[in-house]
Amino acid sequence: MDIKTLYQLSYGIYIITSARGDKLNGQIANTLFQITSEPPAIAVSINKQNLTHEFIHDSRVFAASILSQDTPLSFIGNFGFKSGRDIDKFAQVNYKIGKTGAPIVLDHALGYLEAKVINEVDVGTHTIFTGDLIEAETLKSGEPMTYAYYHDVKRGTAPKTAPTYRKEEKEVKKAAKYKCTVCGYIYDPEKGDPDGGIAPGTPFEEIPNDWVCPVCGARKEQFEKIGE
Amino acid sequence: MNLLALRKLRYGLYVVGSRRKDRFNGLIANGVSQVSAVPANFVVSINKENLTHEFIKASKVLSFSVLSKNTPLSFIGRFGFNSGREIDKFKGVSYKIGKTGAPIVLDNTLAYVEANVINEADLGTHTIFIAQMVDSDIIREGEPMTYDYYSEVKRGPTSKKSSLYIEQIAATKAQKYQCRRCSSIYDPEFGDPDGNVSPGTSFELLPDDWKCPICGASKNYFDKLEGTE
Repeated sequence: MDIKTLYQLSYGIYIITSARGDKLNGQIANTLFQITSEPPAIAVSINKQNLTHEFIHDSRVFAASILSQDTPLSFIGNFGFKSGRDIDKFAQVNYKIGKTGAPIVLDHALGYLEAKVINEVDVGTHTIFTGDLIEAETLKSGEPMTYAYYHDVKRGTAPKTAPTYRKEEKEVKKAAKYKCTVCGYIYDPEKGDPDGGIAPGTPFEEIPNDWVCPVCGARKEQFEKIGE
Repeated sequence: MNLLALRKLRYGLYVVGSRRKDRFNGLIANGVSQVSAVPANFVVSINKENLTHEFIKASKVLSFSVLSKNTPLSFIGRFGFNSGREIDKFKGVSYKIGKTGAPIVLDNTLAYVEANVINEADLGTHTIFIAQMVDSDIIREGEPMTYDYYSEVKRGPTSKKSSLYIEQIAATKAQKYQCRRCSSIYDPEFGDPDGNVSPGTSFELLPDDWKCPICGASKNYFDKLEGTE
């Protein structure tokens, strides 16, 4: 068994949202797919621990925004590495309420889908919600973000609750890297942090003190050195 | 409602294999996704009309092979546009029998997973099988084929039985021809790189022994595609 096999599967990156009463929430997901064409239906896989899971389960609706390839890591961090139990993820975000009542994130979205839940399938840590497509719109042209691009080019990470979570984000090169103790993001001096204006080749020690983790916003002192 | 939004979803392209007693079959699928990490569970969405659907139902085992970006269209045509009711799709193909007994395609394969079916859900035209991983391995290094690369760059057609099927739209002016057998479209602007036909070659100038890159049909299986401007 070679666990690296699983890195060869291709996915997009989406914001899945729902509402309960007048509370809105959303999270990042990679497992969203069309399951039938006539009538069009889609499915999404959500971790049972997530607040969005509760909202979809209770309200029976969800929406999905298809993220553009140039979405900043911090935007993904806001939805993917924080909990709606602690913060209002929609506070600084441009969105609208869709036909189903679910909020639709418009920032960095190429298009969106809305669905009414028709079935739930228990798959252990996650539930697959299947839904009839109620609405679909394209918002702008552009390349969608893929999980491979997010991981390999943007060097983003996955939280422990993701189906694609990798136990060891193994690092082999010599440069001293630092890992965020909050979200697992690794600062690699060879790559720098383009989103935060840190040029490639900048050692961790030379990053300004007000620099924050590009994924989750943690402070510099919350990083620790990774040993070889 | 604009269904083109669905075209922005991203998928890989896989050969899904299964067996019923001594018979093997397989097909091309995009609806393959990991749905949990511990244990590693997958969903595989299959059209109910396909023979592979019957086989998975009967044996409760399946494999999927992650196809390389370099996979020739003819290989995808073999598994995607033929029926195992008519031909033996595994004839001439390199494969092995996995721990579950499912056949695993090795040609053009970067990696594979084999799994036992633990649950299924009826979705109308399709069934989603929930399967727990039994074994997996990497076969070779390379970039995986994605559905959008297959569709947009290789110009591969989408089966009417696919969940992604949208009525083909012939939008541009160049005179295109469509294969009656597999509905693949010859686009002169693009040529047929797999068949060494350079971009800009009109259909009329194709050699008489030219064959459909997907299903192998001869040139006279092609009909002029009327413009829809």
